[in-house]
Amino acid sequence: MLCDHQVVTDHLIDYIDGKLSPVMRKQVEDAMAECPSCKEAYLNAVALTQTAARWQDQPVPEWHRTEYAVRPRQQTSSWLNWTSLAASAMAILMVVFQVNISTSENGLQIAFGSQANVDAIVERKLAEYKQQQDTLLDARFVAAADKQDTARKLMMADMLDKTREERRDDLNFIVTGIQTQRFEDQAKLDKELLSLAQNQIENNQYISQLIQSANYSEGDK
Amino acid sequence: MFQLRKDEKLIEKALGGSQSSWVSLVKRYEGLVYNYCYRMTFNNSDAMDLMQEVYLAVYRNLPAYRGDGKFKSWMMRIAANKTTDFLRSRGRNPLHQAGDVLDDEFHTHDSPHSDYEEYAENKQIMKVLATLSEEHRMVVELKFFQHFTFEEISQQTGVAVSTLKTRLYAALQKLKGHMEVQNVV
Repeated sequence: MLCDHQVVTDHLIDYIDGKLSPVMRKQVEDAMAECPSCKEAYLNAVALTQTAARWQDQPVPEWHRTEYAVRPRQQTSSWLNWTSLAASAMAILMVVFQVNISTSENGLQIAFGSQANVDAIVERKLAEYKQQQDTLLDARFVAAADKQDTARKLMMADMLDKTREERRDDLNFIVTGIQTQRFEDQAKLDKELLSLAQNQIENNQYISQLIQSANYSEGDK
Repeated sequence: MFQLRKDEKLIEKALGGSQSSWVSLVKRYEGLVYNYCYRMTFNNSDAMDLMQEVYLAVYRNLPAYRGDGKFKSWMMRIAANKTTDFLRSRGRNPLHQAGDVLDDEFHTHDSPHSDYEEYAENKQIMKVLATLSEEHRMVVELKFFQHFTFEEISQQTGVAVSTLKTRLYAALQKLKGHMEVQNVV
């Protein structure tokens, strides 16, 4: 009978593991008895099972198991962080200010250090503040005086400049006026001289004519 | 069941950012994964690379692990996929010489004598496995070395159970002659 190896293919492992029903087990055994190929597969499977059991695990070489990092830790409840932060800050402030909490007949009493300490601190702080203010005021006065002095100097310089300029303008005006007057006078004088010279020439001509006429008259005589 | 719960707890903590939980989880299975990778690649260096790729993928996909099955099975599914990809890419590498892998050095152990014995034993097993094709070696590995059921192997590899059984039968047929030598050893 030709074997298609299907029975052994399907049930070989279960057969080796003893998980088959008696009927199925018998079928597998019959198949193996009739087919040398199936029988060989079975023997190889058994041998392989034993072989696998003999494998000696290779130790894993050392390697960086977190090289690709672990995801950042998720934020724990934020209110817890804030509460702890606030509590720490409160504790620090209480130490710094020497907070003293006490209970008496009058009830709960909260004091910031001893009274003497507080007075001394206040006194010292006031003195420091006063000194600081004095220094600031002095500096401000000095600065204001400097500023005023500078402004005054600038104003004076400006005024002097302007006065000098005006004086120069006035002088220029006067000189120009005088020169103009001189030119005008000169021109007038020149004109009068010219006129006088012309009159003189005319007079001379007239006189010459008179002399000539007189001479003619004497000659006629 | 206890182990399952413990795995899930470690996963939960690792997802929350606990480095130590992640390291514990890795250490729990790294020997299994490394030896699996070693038997599939026949090479210490490749096994190390492949194992690191597997754990990188496990780490990246950890948020997607729904806890509806064994972590080991889920992890080995990733390992199977990574192995297939790795062998495929190595097959394309012309520098890779399959014949050289069995001469790879084994790690040193406590004594030279036991080194040699383990080396010899494992070397014989590797020689037997080397006679198989990659897909036949995969089913033999997952069935005989990892002891998964066919259903689990089917889930891990995405191959039908009937196909897996046929492949296993064919693999056993191919071992003809080699197992006789093994039995003598």
